[in-house]
Amino acid sequence: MFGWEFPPNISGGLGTACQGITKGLSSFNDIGLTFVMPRRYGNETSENVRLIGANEVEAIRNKIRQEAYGTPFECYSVESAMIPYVDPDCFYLSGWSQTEKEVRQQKENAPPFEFTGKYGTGLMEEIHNFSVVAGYLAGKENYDIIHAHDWLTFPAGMAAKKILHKPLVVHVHATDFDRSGGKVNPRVYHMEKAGMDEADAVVTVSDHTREMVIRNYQIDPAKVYTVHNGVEPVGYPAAPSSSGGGERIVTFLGRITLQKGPLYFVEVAQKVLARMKNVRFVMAGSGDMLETCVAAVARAGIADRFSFAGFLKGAEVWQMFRQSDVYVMPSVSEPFGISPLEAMFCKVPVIISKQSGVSEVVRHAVKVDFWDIDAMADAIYSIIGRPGLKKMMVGSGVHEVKKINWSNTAFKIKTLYEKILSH
Amino acid sequence: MRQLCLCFEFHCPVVLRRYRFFEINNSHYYYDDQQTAELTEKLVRQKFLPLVDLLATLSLKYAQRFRFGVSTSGITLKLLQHYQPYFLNIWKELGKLGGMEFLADTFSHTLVPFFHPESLPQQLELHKNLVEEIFGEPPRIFYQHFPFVSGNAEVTAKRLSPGGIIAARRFAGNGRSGKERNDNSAGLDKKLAVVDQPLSHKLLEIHQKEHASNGVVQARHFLTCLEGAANPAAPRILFFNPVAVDGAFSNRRGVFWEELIRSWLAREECRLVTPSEMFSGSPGEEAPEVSASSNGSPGMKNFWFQNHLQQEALGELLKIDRMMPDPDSRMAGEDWYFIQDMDHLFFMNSRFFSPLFAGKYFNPYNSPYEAFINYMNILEDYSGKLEKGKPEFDG
Repeated sequence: MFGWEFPPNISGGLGTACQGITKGLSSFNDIGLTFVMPRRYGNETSENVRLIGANEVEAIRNKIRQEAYGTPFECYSVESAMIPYVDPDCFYLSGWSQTEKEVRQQKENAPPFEFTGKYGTGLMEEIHNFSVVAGYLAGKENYDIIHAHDWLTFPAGMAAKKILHKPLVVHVHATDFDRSGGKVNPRVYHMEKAGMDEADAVVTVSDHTREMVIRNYQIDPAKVYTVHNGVEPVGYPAAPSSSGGGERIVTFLGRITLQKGPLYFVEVAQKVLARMKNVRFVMAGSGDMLETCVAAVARAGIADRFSFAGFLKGAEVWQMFRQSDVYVMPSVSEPFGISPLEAMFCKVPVIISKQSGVSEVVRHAVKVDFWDIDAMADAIYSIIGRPGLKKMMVGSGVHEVKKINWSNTAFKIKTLYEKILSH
Repeated sequence: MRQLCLCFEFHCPVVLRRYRFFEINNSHYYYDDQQTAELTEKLVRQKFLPLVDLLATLSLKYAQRFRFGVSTSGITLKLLQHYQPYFLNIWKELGKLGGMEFLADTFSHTLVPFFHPESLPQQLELHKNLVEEIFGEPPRIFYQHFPFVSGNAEVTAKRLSPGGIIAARRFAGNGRSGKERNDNSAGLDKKLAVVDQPLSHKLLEIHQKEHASNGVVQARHFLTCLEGAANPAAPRILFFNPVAVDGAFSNRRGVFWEELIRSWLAREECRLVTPSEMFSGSPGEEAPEVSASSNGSPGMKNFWFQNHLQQEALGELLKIDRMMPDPDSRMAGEDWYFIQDMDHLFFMNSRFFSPLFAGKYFNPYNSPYEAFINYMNILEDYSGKLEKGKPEFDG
């Protein structure tokens, strides 16, 4: 299995999903699982799963260097929205503002290649090199199924398939249509499509994504399977929200990018605050629209009731949920969206966009169109002001979310493996 | 003599418009007129008209031997008057054939008077006046579709409906067990009858499985069930609600009724009665049966005030009702009769997501949460309007 990131070193939902799936699959005695990622930091924990970082595969570093860039895939430096999961470190520090010339100069002076597992300017180069590692590993050991998570690892999956001649499953957690808001990068699209075309089965995280894969990538519907994500139970009891009779907290938590609809959240805040004063809106996360959102909040005159919490990780996320009275996910296009499930675990009522995959599996949430700020504001007003609504959503939500777990996801994936192998 | 009292329910809902919180105190119009008109038209076309046609056919065929009861709210009659007056004329013609008797009901399709008995007299009076105005005959038997939460309400109902009460179920505090009832032949309890819910459900099932077998076979099967029921000689009240049946009320369903009525009336000892006639049996005749299995039916509480949403909304309704200082103020705000409709609580049902959720026929919401949010916004506005002391007549 090939993935790009693994908790705790993650920048988005991809790593969380990979951990959930590997954990679920590893509970089956008849599955032996090797998970390969670009870089292993040593702080990853995963029972019964063999974790390999491409950075640890010393034997082939020279091969990568020798190959230089004479590869099946062209290598490009990336400067725009083609980067899929932007963590704050990468985003601000790795040269988004550099010109192409500067990047080229940097490359020429760069030390020998190192895997980072991040999404910086050397991403395409790293994707290629990761595929070389995949081919090398495939030649060393035998595997029955190759499973690649998202386009970053599709070349790796294809390289392994070429060596092993075994079925390839590609797992689509998001497409470039989701990430770019429709302005698809042709090179990313090409890699996504190549992986899906080559695959024996394409797993999508929602019907929403499945339809997109079939429609936008012209993939045979017969080989596209929806397997919804799950959620990992919170390891400690989540206290009800802290606000009591005081200030109420409405939270947005995610990358502050076009895909996540942060400006709709600002508009909603403006609507609600026009009627309610004891409410604070919190936007937690980072991304290329952060400054735009800050400006929008200032223009709306709600800066005293609106906070930017920055990028949160691990326990900070749970802490944020526990302080929240409402969680809002106004995503324009969300292939799945695990965070509402995590919020539900923390007994927080959630408002989610109908354009999200998670809305296919959750009933006890208020579902709205991402553009319907009136409906979102209406739901917030009611959840905050009418205790019966919060009680019912929390009670039914916790009960519901416990059934949406990674074991079910893993079971469906295992069933798919068996189906593919039986052919 | 074996008596069967068939009662048919007619119900049209009022569809509320999407009412957002920022409209509270700004806009006092709550209805989606277009949706209400379309739904009323659809109900009339698919359900009521074919049913009334069938009842007219049976009335003409069996003359005065075909007798039945009708249950409907004042709001339904108001909607029909407004949106489908031609249907009301057809219905009136049916009434002229004789054998049809309206049951007394609350004017609104509401739970409020069952909690606040002080509003019951006015609700019954308004309903009685409207039925009499349209059909020329006042209703005499009260149809109690919900348990009285207050004992006073029960006394009030018995006082206001001396002809008798038909209860949808054997509600706690509403009478004695079936055995006790059969031993009782005097007093007010003699004037309380309970709908046979198992057989009424059977009727509904038969209509849901329209294509399973033909109507004649189903009617004979149903008669067998009637014979096999406990105490088959006792008078029996069956309710049929065509709105609860999926799809249109077709001619094929009519075949069932024609065969059922034909077979029943063909028996010398059997007759059909109106609700009043059932209660006016000669001394010594058995009191209406209390179905022994009626407790097996889903509790009323499960549908209308089971969960937190429904309880909060009902609490708000009762708060508003308490804000009404006198009957005149109730009269002044016609909105109140429309917005207290219990359908709005039904849409918050915990079984909302069940594929069998019956309310889907009317249901304009995607979740019980949407239903709650919308309804509570309206109640908040209405309550605010009352507090300002300016109820408006919107009729």
